[in-house]
Amino acid sequence: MSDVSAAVREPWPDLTVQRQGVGLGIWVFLASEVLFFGALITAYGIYRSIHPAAFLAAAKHTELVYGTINTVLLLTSSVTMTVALRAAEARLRRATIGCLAVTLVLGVGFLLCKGLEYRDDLREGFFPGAGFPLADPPTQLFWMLYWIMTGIHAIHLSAGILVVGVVAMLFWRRVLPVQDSTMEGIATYWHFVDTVWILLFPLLYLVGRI
Amino acid sequence: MSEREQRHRPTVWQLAREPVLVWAALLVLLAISAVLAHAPIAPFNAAVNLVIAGVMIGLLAVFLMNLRMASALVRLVAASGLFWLVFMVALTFTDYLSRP
Amino acid sequence: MTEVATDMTLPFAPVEETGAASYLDEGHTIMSWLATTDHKRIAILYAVSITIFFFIGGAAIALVRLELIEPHGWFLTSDAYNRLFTLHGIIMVWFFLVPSIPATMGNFLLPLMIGARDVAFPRLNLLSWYLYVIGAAFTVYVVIAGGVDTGWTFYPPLSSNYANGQVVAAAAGVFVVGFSSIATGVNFIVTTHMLRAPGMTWFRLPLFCWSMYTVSLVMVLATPVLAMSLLLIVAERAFGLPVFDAAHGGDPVLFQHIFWFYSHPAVYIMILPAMGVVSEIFACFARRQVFGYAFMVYALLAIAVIGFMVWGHHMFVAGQSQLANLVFSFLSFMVAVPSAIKVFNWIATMYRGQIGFEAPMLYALGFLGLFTIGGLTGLFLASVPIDVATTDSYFVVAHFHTIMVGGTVSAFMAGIHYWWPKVTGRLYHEFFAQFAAITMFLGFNVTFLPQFVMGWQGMPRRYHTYPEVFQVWHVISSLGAGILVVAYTLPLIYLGWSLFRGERASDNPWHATGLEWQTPSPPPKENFHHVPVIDAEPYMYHETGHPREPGEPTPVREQGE
Repeated sequence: MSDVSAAVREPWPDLTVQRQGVGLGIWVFLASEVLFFGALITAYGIYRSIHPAAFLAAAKHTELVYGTINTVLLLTSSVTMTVALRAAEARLRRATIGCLAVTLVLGVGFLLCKGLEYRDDLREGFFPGAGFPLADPPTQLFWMLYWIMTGIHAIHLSAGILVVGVVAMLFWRRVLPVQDSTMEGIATYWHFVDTVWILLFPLLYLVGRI
Repeated sequence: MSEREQRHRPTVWQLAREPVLVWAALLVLLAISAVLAHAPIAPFNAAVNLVIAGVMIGLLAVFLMNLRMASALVRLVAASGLFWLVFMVALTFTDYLSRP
Repeated sequence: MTEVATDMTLPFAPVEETGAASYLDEGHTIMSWLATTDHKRIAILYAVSITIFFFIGGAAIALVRLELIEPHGWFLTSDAYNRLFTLHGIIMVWFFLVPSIPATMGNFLLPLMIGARDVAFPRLNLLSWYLYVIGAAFTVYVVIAGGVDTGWTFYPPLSSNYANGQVVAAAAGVFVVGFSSIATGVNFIVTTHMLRAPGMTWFRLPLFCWSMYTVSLVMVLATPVLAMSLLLIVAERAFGLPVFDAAHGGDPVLFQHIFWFYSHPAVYIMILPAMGVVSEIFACFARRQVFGYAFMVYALLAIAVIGFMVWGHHMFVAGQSQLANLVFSFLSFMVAVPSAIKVFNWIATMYRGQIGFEAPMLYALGFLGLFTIGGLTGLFLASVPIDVATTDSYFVVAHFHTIMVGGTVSAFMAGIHYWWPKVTGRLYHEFFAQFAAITMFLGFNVTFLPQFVMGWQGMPRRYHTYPEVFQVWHVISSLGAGILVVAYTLPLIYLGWSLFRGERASDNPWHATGLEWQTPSPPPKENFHHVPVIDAEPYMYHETGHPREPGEPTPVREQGE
């Protein structure tokens, strides 16, 4: 099939090996991402161990409703992404593009929800600095971590949304066949972004709720 | 595509069955952890919620990311990332936990 | 050894095919270079870039060494002094040493040595060079906009709250160039796993390939942590978020943990490739197989892994707990063991060999001695009581320069000369190269041995002014730096000259084993005209080291396509 052979790139001998190679490459990249976020997790762990009470007091004020909605959106998007990948492997072009579109919409939904949440957080003054509503200084450390962790996560999600959009377009225009190694890569990346959120959720939203 | 291939091609709904089951499990776990966060089981709330998060990540990794079907190499890579994170956290904690 | 002998017939490339175009002939326009996905061209793009930055970083420290002739300074303000040594550190670490061997020799040679046509992701390879260029652009901006004075280590609260220079731009430049490293690492790991030619099993790989593989593991796992540490500094400085701020309960030592978690493995990023290069050179120029190949591999892996567990030895006096000091000190002693094994194996490789003293070997021998000394002084520093006295003194400065300059730069020069004929198809002038190698060795020792002495006597590092008792050592050290300027400039001249007037090189001027020598000099774009099949161990030199005879069996045979 001519469109399949066009999908094989230098220097790969054939499409199967290429897909394995891309898969391996993405996982190696994810190992580095684990360490990127891991440095933040380390900082969170250390600071929480030093200032347990302040963290409990600070985390009470995160918006559990927004956080839970966002978690549901991302979990659902991971499922639709998985279906997109399986559809691509079964060479169901329209289903693949459709599932990618749903995934994209759910991702954008997350960002919108996050945006509303950030607006509420700022309105109540929960950005460290002047006007911070809590008295104990280490509570600002928690909120610093909140902004940085969710911010970096949102940047990663945005990059994922961009790539999903571009790839869906390339599939739609038949520039790339759906069985190309690309789906493997973006699916794995998307699941990783979801995984980070699953870890952030208890650290940021389920603390100090007793 | 030949007719035979046409007949054997799965539909989207068939492909979606397993992921949807995983999704249901993930939502249940999410609900449990949100509820348990309010439970008076201090100081175990954090640990319990992190364990649930770990299970959710495990389900995602195994069933949605296909880790169980991936090559040994990919699983080794995934494990290495995690392992390196563990000892960054562990060795840093040896400093903080042993300070006077 | 350097005669243009064509008695070495290529076993699987008929003579009429060797007249084919090399990778250098595939396009002569600038775009053909800037938009290339050929790993060989990307290697050259990197080589040009890192050479430029080497000289910029060198110029910075030349000014510093000139200033240090006088105990109270004579032409620099203290602020300018601080900015110069900071620039030197940032450029030399991230824009020269870290990419040096991997991005140039690794890029060029890894696919050749494993019998592949290119790296796994050629476009990602090009992107990694552009990331380097963007990071470098930030650094150039920093220089033009007045510099940064925090030291290459960016410690808060100086870098986040008090420094007056371009901290954010400098951090951004390093952040971006870090992703260049990660991209290279991902590429090399997948290439080594998946693109080896038939018969090239893991334990038939040349040690240079193993060193590229292990350095890639370190780059991929360590660099993201650096990126996060710098991001946190920028968050504190530019967005006012309290991260390491003691007034809010933060801890500046936490930055040091995160920063050194990368920066210690970073020094292994610098030394592992150097070890790979000299393994190739000792085997070739002693005409003997590498002694203890398997343990050389295990040693590389052990250094890569244990190297992640020793970062606290940079923080013995920073306020770390005694237990942490003990643990990190112990692990630091442990990491010396695999390095020592390698040193013994290199020596054993040369034993009863037929040693040639061409420039690559001179540089490699210099590496051997200086790496050993540098490593031994590292053991001194791994001992907590000695470190308490010598920390932040010139002893530390001399220690790490001995390994990075005496070690890595020597190996880099060795590799440049060894593979020059392969990359360019030209031979360099051997006498000038040998002269430069010896000059560099002498210049290095005149520069840094006095630094060990004065460090031991208490001269602090990064100080603009100092007590007069240290002046004699500073003057000798600065003289040595002047000799090094000559030693580093000479190769530019004779290597540059060889590009235009050098003798044409044969495919294997060193009569070396290794797949890269079984293809024309310079290689064709697709590296091999026919897919090689490997059926023997590496380093198939004669048992007692006599030079190779033409017609001797090679470790590869042709697989017709």
